[in-house]
Order: sequence, then C-alpha cells, then structure tokens
Amino acid sequence: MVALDDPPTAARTRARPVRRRPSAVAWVRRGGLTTLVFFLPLLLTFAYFSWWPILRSLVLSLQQTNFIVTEWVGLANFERVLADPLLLTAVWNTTYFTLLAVAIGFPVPILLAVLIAEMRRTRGFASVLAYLPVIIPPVVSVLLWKTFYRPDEAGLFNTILGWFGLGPLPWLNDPDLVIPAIVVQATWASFGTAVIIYLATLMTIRTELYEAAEIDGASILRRFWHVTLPQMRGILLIMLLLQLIGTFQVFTEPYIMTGGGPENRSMTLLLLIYRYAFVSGDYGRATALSLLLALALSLLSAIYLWATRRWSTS
Amino acid sequence: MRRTTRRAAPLALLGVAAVFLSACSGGGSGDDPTDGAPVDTDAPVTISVGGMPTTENPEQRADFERQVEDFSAEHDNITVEAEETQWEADTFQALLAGGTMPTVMQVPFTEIGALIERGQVADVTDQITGSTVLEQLNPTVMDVVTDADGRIYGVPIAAYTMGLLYNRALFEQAGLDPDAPPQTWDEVRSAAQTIDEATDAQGFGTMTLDNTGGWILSTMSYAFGSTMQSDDGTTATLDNPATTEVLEFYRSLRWEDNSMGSNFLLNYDDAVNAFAAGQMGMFVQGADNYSNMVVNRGMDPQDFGVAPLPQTDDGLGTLGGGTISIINPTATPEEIAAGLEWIEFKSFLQYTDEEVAVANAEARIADGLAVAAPGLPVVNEEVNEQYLGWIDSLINVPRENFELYLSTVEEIPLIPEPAVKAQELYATLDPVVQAVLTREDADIPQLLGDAQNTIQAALDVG
Amino acid sequence: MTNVTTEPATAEPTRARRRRAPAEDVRDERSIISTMDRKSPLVRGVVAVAGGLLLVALVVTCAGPLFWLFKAATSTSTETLAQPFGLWPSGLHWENVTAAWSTVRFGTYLRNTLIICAGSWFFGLLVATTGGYGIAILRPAYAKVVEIAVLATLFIPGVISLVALYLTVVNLPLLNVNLLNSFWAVWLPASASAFNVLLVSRYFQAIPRELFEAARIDGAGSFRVFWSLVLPLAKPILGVVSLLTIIGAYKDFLWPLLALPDHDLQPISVALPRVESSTDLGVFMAALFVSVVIPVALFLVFQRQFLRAAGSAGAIKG
Repeated sequence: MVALDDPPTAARTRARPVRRRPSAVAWVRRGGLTTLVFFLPLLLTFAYFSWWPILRSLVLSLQQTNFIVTEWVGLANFERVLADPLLLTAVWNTTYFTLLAVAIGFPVPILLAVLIAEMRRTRGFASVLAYLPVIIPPVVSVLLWKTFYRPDEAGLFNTILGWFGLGPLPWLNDPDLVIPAIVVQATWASFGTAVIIYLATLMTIRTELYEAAEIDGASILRRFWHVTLPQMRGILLIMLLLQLIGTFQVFTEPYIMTGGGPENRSMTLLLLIYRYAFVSGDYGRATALSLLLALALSLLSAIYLWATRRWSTS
Repeated sequence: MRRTTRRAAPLALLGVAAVFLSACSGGGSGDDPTDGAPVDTDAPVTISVGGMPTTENPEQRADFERQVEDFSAEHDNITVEAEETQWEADTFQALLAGGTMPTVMQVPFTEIGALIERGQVADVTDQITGSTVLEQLNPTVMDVVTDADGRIYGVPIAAYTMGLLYNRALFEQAGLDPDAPPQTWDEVRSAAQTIDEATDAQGFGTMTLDNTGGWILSTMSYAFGSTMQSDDGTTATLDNPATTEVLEFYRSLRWEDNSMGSNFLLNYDDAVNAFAAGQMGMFVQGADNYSNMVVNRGMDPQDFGVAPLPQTDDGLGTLGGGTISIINPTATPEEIAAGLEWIEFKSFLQYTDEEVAVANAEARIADGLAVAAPGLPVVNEEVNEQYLGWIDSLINVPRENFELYLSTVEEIPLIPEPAVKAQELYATLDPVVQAVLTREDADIPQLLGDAQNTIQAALDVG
Repeated sequence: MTNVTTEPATAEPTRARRRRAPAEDVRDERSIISTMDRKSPLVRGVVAVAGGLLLVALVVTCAGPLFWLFKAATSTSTETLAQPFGLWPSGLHWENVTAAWSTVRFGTYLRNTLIICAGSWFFGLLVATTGGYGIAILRPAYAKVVEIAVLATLFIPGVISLVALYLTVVNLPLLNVNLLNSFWAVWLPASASAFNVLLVSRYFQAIPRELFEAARIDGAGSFRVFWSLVLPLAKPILGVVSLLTIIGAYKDFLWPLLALPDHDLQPISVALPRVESSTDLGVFMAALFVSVVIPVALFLVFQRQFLRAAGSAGAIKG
C-alpha cells in the first residue's frame, strides 16, 4: 500500500539505510523502476479490488450513509444486525445446510476416490464422469435441478415417486424438505472436485507402505484404515475446512431456487447480506453482518487448525 | 460566493413563488435546494433524464428520442442527456453511491416514502408551485409525494389501483361469463374451482417472493377491511381480523379446493408470465397491466380481463400505486426547474394540447403500443375526459371488456401503501403467506402475531 | 538449455505429476488392493461388481441429468411435461435451439460470457505472472511485504468485502470512475486473485536462480528474462492458472449479477435465471443445454488438463 501511494519515495526510504547514495537516479539505474513496473498490475488490482475493500468494510460497518451524507454511528449497525429476528433463522439455516452438506459431501468423495483408484481399466472414465457435474456452470445446474424439483406431477422426481405410487412431494415448496433438497443439488454439483483431489493424493501414497502392511497380513479394509486414511489425513483435514467455509457462504442455490422461502426456511446468511445491501440499500448493516460472518469463519478456521494440529502431534 | 449566481433574468415561469434568500447557490452540490436560491430559468443548464427505453424496444426508444429533440428545440438553454437508467430495487442505491443518478428518473410509489425519509430525493415544492399543469393533478395521487409538512418531492406520472386480473379465454373454457367477473370473494373462490376443474390452468394464484407476497396480502387486507399500519405509521396493525380472513381464504383455496396450483414460490415475473401464458385463471395485480401482458408478454388482447378488486362489507378500498418522476437530491434549483419542465413536457403535454395528444396516440399505434389502456388517471377527471375525447377514434384497446372496472375505478377508494417501512412489512409477510400455502397446519394467529411483533419493533426503532 | 527445461520440473506441482505420469502407463501400479489380492476370485469378484455398480451409478447420476437435459432441449414443452422420461415421442426438435437464439437472445449472452472469460483470463495471467515474477525473482526490498499482504487476503473469507468491493467499483477512489456496466468491473476484481499469484510465484521460486544470473551476465534485462526465459519455463503452471481462471469466470454468478445490471452486458449465468419464467420450457432447456455443451465439450477434449488442474489446485491447497 505504501508503495502504491508514493512508489519512488517508499522505495527510496527503504533503500536508504542500505546504501548511502539514496538518489532516485541511482534507484532507477539499479532497475528499481523496472521492478516496480512489474509490481504495478498486482499492486493496482490488489489495492483497488482486494486490500481497499477489506479496509473499507471495517469503515463502512461503523457508518450509515445515503451517499449524500455519511454519519459515524459507532456499533449501531452491529446492534441492528443482532436485533433482526431473521439473523437467528439465517444462522440456523446456514448451519443446518453446512452440517448436512458436509455430512454427505465429505465422506462420499473419499469413498468414491478410493473405489475409483482401485478400478484399473475404467479409472479415467470414472474420474471424467465424476468431474462432469463440476464442469457445468452452477447457475445452469441449479436451474436444471429446479425443474427436476417441480412440485407438480410433471416434475422428474415426482414422476419417479409416482412409479412407486408415492408423492407428489412439494420439494422446494416444503419448509422441511427445502434445505435437504438444496443440499443434494449442491453436493451433486461439487463432489467431483473433491474426488479428483483425493485421487491425486491417493496416487502419491508410497507403494512400500501398502506392501509393508500386506506383508504384516493386514486385510484390504485394514490397509484402507491404517494406511490410506492416515496418509490422506492432511488433505482430508484441509478439504473438510474448505468445505465448511465454502458451504457457509452458500448463496446461488437458495437465491435462484427459492429466494429464501418458504417461510425463510432457506434464508442463508449471504442471502441476508444481499438483502440488506442490494435490496434495502442498507450497506452499513450488510457490512456489519459480513464482518461478523467473516470473523466467525476465521475463528472457526483458527480453532479447527489448532485442534487438528494438537490432535495430529499427540 | 463564487461568481455563480446570475440574477439577470426575471423569474418568469416557475420561480414565482420561490423563496428568495441570498444563500450561496449555483454550484450547490449537496446544498439543500429548499434554502431557496433564486432560480434563473434562462441560464444554460444540462440535465440527464432516465427512463429511455433500451435497444430491445427500438420503437419506444425512437419515440423517446423524438421527444428529447422536440423538447430541446423548445428550450434553448436546456441540454437534455437521455439515459436508460431505470429504477430497480437492487441498483438504485448504487446510482447514488456512484453519483450517477440522472437529474430526473422514475421510481414506484412504494419507494418514495423511504427516499424522503433517507433524504435521497430533491424537494421540488418551490419550483413546482405555479405550474398550471402540475397543479391539475389528481389530489389523491399528489398526497403520495407530499410529506407531513406539505413539502412536495416529486411528480406522479402514472398511477394504478389493484384489481382482479382474469383470463377471459379461461373463463369461457370453464363455462363462466367473461363479462361478469366475480364481484365477491366467494365468487372468486368458486370461479377458481371451476377453472381448475375445467381447464389445465390453476384457478387462482398469488405471488409470494421478493416482498410481493406481503404486497398482495396488504391489498387483500384493505379489501377485507383493515390497513396494516396506523395512519401516522407508528403502530403496526397487521395482526387484525381482516388479514386473518384473507389468510383463511388462501388456506381454503389451497388446502380445501386445491385450486392454486402446486408452486408457491412465485415472484412477480413468475406470476405475471404464468397469467399471460394462460396458466393461471385469476390473480390480484395492478389493473394497469394491460400493456405489460399484451404488448410485452404476448397475451391475446381479447383474453385480458380486469375486474374491480372485490370488497367485503367492511372493505376499505383498493391499494394503489404508480410511478413518480423524482429529481436527484444533489440537483441545483436550476436543474430542478429544468427537470420539472421536462417532466411536464414528457408526461403531461398531451393533457393540455390536443395536437400533442393525437400525435402521441398515433405514434403509439404506429409502434404497436396500447392507447388508452385501463388504469387510474393521474390528472383529474375533467382533464382526463377531455383527453379521451380528443383521441377517441384512435383507441386500440378493447375497453368494452373492462366496462365494470372502468365504471367503478373512481368509486373504489384508493388506499396508499403503508407509509413507513412498507418493504420491511412486505418482506415480513412473505413468509406468512408462504407458510399458509405450504403447510396445511400453519398457525395463522401465531404467524401474524410474530410478524406483528417484528414490524412493531422495526417501527419503534424509527 | 536442456538442463534448463528439466530443472523447473522439480517444482512442486510438476513433481507429483511426473511421478504419476509414468505410473499411469505401467500396468502394475500399486493401490490398496495388491496384485496378489486380485488373484483371489472373491476379491476379484467383489471388485468387479463394486466397480460395475459404481460405474453405473456414476453414469446415471452424473451423465444422466445431462442426457435428460439434451432430451428436454430437443423435445416440445408439452412432451417434457407430460412424459418426463419419454424419449422423443415426436422426433427431435432442434427448433428449440434456434428459438433460444432468437427469443432469449442467447447469442448476446454467450458473447458476453466469452468476453468476460477472455478478459478475466488476460488480466488474471498478467497480474499473476508479473506479480509472481516480482515476488519470486526480482525480489526488491518490499517484495516480502507485498507477498504477505497478498497471502493475507487468502485467509480472509471473500464475503467480508463483497459490499465494499461493490461500492468501490461503483466509484473508484481517486479516479472517481464508475465501472458498473462495463466489463472492467468483472475483469479487474477477478484478476486480483491471491491464489493465482501464489501458485505462480511458488512455481517461479523453484526455478534455479543461476539461470537468471547467467542471462543477466549475457546482458538480458528484466523484461527479456521475464518474456524469453521465465514465461516459457512456466508454461505448465500458466496452463493450470488459465484453466482455473477461465472456468471461474464462466461459472461466476453473484459478482456479474451485481456489476452488470444492464441486460445487454450480462453473461449467460446472470441472464438465464432472469429469463427463466418468461421462456417456454423447451426453449429454456435448449438454452441451458447450449450453456452446458460448450464447457463439457472442452472438458472432454482437454480432460487430462482439466483433471490435472483440479488435482494440482488441491495439492496447493493442501
């Protein structure tokens, strides 16, 4: 940031203690300017679109503005966030969504990857298949599933239920089914990534480990349990965290499929932030909630990393 | 204090009643225009005007451009820059944030309360007084843009009241008389049942997403006999017998008759498209939707039906809304004056000038647009009758189909939307409507009680 | 120069691949189940059945919906509603696809999507390569600070700056420019990707420094070294970054939704949900289908690169 505000000076002051000829000319001659030119794209884009917005969030959360007059309001935005009865609903929905998504979306790719790794001739084909849903733009996949979930008899799932004399179920229209229905879609759309990453990791497990286990008489399942899983632990732990953080910020699926309904049962935190900011024009409240969410996620990560580190060293 | 104030020209046209104070004016960005700087209506001024139709509608765009040219020809000192900017809930704030809000743009009735409250719209009282045309506006409609102190914040240019839209073709298919639309809610219910059984369409429908659920519920509550808020906007009154009755009405149609289809997560577009496509027999919607349905969404003009919103014995009237031309809060008094000139020229000249009225109507016909579509006139009755007389031979809308609606439109009182935090109220009611439609055991008193507390808390915060 | 080309291959992402690449060709690669196990008919049977079932399940769940989409895209709406599983009762209806072009203006949205992908790719690579070069190779005194500042953004959840980023784009500080409704509003924020910068700079760091010293002694300036030495060496990682950036741009929804409110500029992902309710089901399915066909076709052609990019992205995350 300093470098951006006044690049030559910043560079000069840094150079000063090192060499006793701190002239700009010398700096340019040493290639300082060329170096800076290389840094410019990064500095400019990050300053404008990454660093500054993060700082500005901190400022915005303490302000209320109508873009004509801006007022400092202290923690009032945070108070208003916490006073919104929808907050609790959104926190609960998001947590429920995340837990359900991880409960399905975490173990399934592990099993698939391990099974696919055992398939000798069809491994390539299977990984292509598993990755196929990931290639589809999320919006398209959400819209496609929205038609699958049609609440009338013409819906795909309701037709299938109909074969067994069941249904029709209202799916997204059902307050109790809406989150599970979205989780199934979201898992379908994303499990491929995890499968491919696990497959790549599986391929790097040293063969001697398996051989040693085999010589010790370990059965196939025991080899999975005692060799494969421990070897994958690093990536599994990271992927679990990434999935937690990712699903906590779910937006596109409920936004397109349900708009947060029915009865706010699919109102997620990001949807609430979107509403505050881009429907009500209440940017202060929206940033306050963003900050709280970011803080919660950072805390979660920190605790998680600390806990897993302790656990793996013990 | 810069050399900005020019006081040379007499303040002939609009500034008659303006308050003369020798405050710093001119550059005045962010100054409160009501500080009353003298307005020089001959000084060169540039205004940007929103609402230019997009290239998707070339005919309407050409029409707009022609009007800009004509206006510029008449006003040497005013330069008009046309923009496509339109009001959208999620982008309006960005216009202000980016300083790109045009001098003149249109917003729906619903928004004006919040805009006034947030100080995001210019006070035009001083400049509007004295304009003969703008003083002939329908007084009920003018109330919407006037605050408690009598200050005026915009010019209503179009208005509508909510009505019962129905598909005439589906009525015929179901053996109902399209010229005798339902006039009570019991009749609505039985017509819905008949349509649902006799056709592929659902009988009745309602929107539930993006605040539309609460909007329609409020409309229905008015028709059943209660407002949602005390007149001063301090007390929420949404937990009332009328609203309960409406929700019970929904419940009977949904769970007893099953005549409301199967998808209950509908936003405005979903519902309007379903209706235009003949998939929905009836729904409550703005009665001015003729053009939207026929011109934009390809509905057969003969299928479009609109009836007055049925009223119970206690019914208060029907919810009304419309479009308001507002002016950028940072505009200078000169820009405000020029903006009002433009609004008057663009939206009201046809009411005072027969030639313009006829030319406009002809141009609309040439562009395939509707002339004299049903709606609520923004000018008073007398002016409107005169206008309809001028263009009588050019009317291309089957007005005979809307007989009942047109003959009663002035009789049913127009009830404005809740004055304070209407959108928050609607957002809180969306889930209530969704609950009744998606859960057979939804506890209506409980839902309304909770919503009442939420809104009361929001009102208390102020 | 032969030496040159092999050295960077020791960079992390490639090493894993190199080890794997030959292994893939060798028939007797080791996994949980050994060759010995496979001699047992029971194991072989279980593996075969499980493998078969797995394949069937994958075909049904992963390719099935796409196949259904193709069917729905080429059937009339009535057919799709009346017989969701009927296979073309009245033949193929390609007219849905043409209708998507004319009534939904799919061509416009597709063009916008391609523009967004191309621009995001260009600026993404520009920032990642020049920045990575600066951080990993030029290493001025302030490089460490910049690297830490970039790294830090990786640990801050993206949601924190959504609103502030929007307000920044609406009115760029110092410049007072409104980027809303211009493609810059999508290109530039996308290019500020800490992940890409770190991916590239890690790769650059693994290139032995002697190479640059040598080039410099030969009189090559920073630009020459960058253009003729570093970039050619970095091709593998540039491929990965390109793929990740382009896929990211094609998939993005929320940001273009906010940054491009003008319908004429919207990419497919933003336009499709908007036109959903006003479009005939068959035509809409055709529009969905075309949006899927392009990336899927690219994926099938370049599957190896895609899967590697996905795998190595994971390796970095790990």
